[in-house]
Amino acid sequence: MNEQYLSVFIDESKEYIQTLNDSLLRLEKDYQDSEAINETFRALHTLKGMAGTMGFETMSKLCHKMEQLLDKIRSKKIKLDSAMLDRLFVGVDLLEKMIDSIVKSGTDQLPELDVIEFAKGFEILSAETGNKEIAIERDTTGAIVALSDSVERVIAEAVKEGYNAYQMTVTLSEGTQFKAVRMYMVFKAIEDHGGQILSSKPSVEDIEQEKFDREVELIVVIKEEKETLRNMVMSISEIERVTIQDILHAEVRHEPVEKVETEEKKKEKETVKTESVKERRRLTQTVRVDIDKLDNLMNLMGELVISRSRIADILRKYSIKEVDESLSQLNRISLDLQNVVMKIRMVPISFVFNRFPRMVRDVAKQLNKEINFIVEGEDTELDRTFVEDIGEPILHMLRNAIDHGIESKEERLAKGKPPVGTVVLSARHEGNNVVIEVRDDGRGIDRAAVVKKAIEKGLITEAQAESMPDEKVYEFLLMPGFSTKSEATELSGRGVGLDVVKSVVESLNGTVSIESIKNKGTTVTVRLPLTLAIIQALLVKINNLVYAIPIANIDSTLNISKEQIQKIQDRQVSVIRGEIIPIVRLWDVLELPHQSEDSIYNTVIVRVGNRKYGLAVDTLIGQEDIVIKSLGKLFSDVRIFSGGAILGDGSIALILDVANIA
Amino acid sequence: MQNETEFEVFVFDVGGQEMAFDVEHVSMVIERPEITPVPRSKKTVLGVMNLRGRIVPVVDLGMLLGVKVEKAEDEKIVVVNFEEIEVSFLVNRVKGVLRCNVSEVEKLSELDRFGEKCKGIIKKGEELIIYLNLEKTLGELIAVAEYSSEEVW
Amino acid sequence: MAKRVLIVDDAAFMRMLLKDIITKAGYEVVGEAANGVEAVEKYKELKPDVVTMDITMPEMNGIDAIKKIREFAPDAKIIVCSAMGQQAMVVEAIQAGAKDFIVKPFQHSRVVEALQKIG
Repeated sequence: MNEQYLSVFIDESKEYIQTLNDSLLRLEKDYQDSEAINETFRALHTLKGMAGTMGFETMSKLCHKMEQLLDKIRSKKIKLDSAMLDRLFVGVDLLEKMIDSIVKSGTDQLPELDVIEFAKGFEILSAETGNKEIAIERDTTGAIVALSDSVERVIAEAVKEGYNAYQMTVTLSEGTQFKAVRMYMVFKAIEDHGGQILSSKPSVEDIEQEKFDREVELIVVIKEEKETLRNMVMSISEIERVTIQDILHAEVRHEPVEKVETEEKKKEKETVKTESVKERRRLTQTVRVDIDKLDNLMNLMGELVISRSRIADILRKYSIKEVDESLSQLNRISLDLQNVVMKIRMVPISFVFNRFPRMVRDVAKQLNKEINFIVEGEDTELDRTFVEDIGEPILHMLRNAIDHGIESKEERLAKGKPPVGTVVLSARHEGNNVVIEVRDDGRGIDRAAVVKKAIEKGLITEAQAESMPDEKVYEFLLMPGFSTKSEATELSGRGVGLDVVKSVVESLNGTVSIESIKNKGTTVTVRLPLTLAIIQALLVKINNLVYAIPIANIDSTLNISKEQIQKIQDRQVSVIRGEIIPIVRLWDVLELPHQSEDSIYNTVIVRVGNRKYGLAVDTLIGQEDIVIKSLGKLFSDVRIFSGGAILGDGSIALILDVANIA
Repeated sequence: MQNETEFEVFVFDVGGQEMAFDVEHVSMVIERPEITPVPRSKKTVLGVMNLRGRIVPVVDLGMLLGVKVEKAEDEKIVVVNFEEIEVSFLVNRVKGVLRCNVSEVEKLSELDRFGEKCKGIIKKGEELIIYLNLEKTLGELIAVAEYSSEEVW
Repeated sequence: MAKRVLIVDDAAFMRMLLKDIITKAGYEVVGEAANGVEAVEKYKELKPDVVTMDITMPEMNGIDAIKKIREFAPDAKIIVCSAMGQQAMVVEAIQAGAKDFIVKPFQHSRVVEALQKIG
């Protein structure tokens, strides 16, 4: 069997598993959601075909049985219930296992389970005919199309501005080559004439992948008359037929009883529409690129940045005016290029978030809690390097929120809270950071318990605890081996917790912070840099060695005289603009000699989460773009550096991990 | 034709003692470049160097093995690659590649001070070469951060 | 008057084939070019009604040639000739201003349809 096909099969199957999970989750919320029923049906159907083609008979059979059940539900022959849904979920899990097994051992057979036997269970469910059959009346007039509210609104607006709204069916000739391109030409012709395609069936993505036979249905608003539109499209080669009908949207709106089929159609249109506008743009403008190539591009970009700095360094000595100009141009271009490369590497965080709704559902069910899980900012983009690593920390944050944050129903009711707990997973951009938050409306963190434990462990004294701000207290939770719950629950007791969140996030140059209000809830916030590879850094010198401090961590730089530094409880602090800021002498941290007799310290004020401290250095050199390189496994125990960078002169600057210094 | 009982080692000198690694892991030998120290790392790690744009650790092999090295005039860096880990060792003279037979390797009790870092001793006539185990040597250098924690809050 | 066609393809064989189809369909082939640079020059010189433009060619590819031609002749009617699997290129060509495309190996009827539809 062709390896290449197999990998495409696996990738695509995984996508369909994701689709199945998503649509089943939607069905769980609304058993009548015909759009979700259709989506589930379609995904199973496609998966069945794919598995069959690849010769995975068992997988194909299971899909088939599940599809049959869905078909019965879809045609309203039977009614979906929670037992069916649970079984469907299990079925999807089995499909996923089969794919894993295919990856590992090339077979869809699961040793521990007789899948065929399990699949038969769907037959029994499908056979149930207790539900009343609902007669299907097909709407044959065609002119009255049920549309989603938002499409209708757009149509209403457009009509007001003198546009016509049409439902149009385009049929390609038999044997048309490059069907996707042909349809693209149709889309382009309509848009070139000031028209807009509000939805398409099949979806634009399917069209793009030529997943359609010959016919495509479009909802179009355009100023041209029907005949003009028809001629316009017919003038494109290989178009066999174009039929156009007016959309009488007003009638739809007031139609009191919606027919079953129309209802279904409407929902379908709705999905198509929401994806349509965005995906329209993607139809022609995306290419798939091997990830290795992107990484290679990034590396080359890094080399380019290094060489540029090197040339700049050398030329600076001569200060030739003509060269200066070209040099600054080169600077600009490479900066632009850098930005472009960075953007190419960005992917929406939905890649990571996708799997969580299902996981939250399972965990909540297991713990007998009801959770309203909300995902926000799925479109937020982040560097693809993070995608692989950030999933696990978020998983822990969510588990913690459900397991330890959200109270039991009874407890919530007793507190006068709604019985259903809310967990919000959100992502957003903030300056040069991507901020990911897990927020719950649960019991909050018991400060007293954390303090008690910290004192027990000898981390702080009672006196220290008293004056400690909450966020400092909560930071203990991020320490390895620190816990306030003596016995771990089945779910979360896997020997990993918030300390793992911290260590992973910090390895990505990010930070973690916790906020919590008793009985109101807890928010765990992860901040990641936008990209890992190239950052702006301030170069500083200590004992003639150059170190880099990421600009993202820097609040300001200033001179502090020795007299301005006071000692409070073993710590050196200075009052800067009314704030008490701890001062760390970097040469002490780095265990380097410090000969300078200067009474003034060059100090870099850095920010970690919401606290600040000052780093005293020998000299400030200046700001530079640096390419972060890993120091490798040999230095995994050295936490004060997050990596190294090669400077213009070929020397190495170690990058300080400010979160681990003070 | 390579005989199965034959193998090749890369021989070098550390503090007057000849030592060897399996040749397939050795990627290059260079002059001692500028080495940037990494504060708070292991004492046996001299620091990092810039090797064609890569940052590669430099390990003081003499110190790691507990071999006394007089301030030598001749210093070389042997770069090795082992399972995606690139590390370099500071050694003295480099001797080159030597073909050996398994029958020439002996386990000797006086090598115990090297522990698992040594596979045995290669006897070539009068010459005695310490045959190092690269995997174990690297293993000793790489600290694995271990977490043992329960759940929180 | 018969429509005047310029054929652009780096392979003489393909040009011959196309010329045959086009002539038989009642059009006049006024010129041939073997790469993008030549195509641009020939276009200026001959001002053809229609151009068939191969995509992959030495010197200057078809897409760049389309862009160049449309700089001075925005109404130029260009049909791109594509090989199997070049969908993305075809889209690019259409964005650059090509009016239609035909896919190798050429079917007579498709070539003729394209010539007719381009008007």
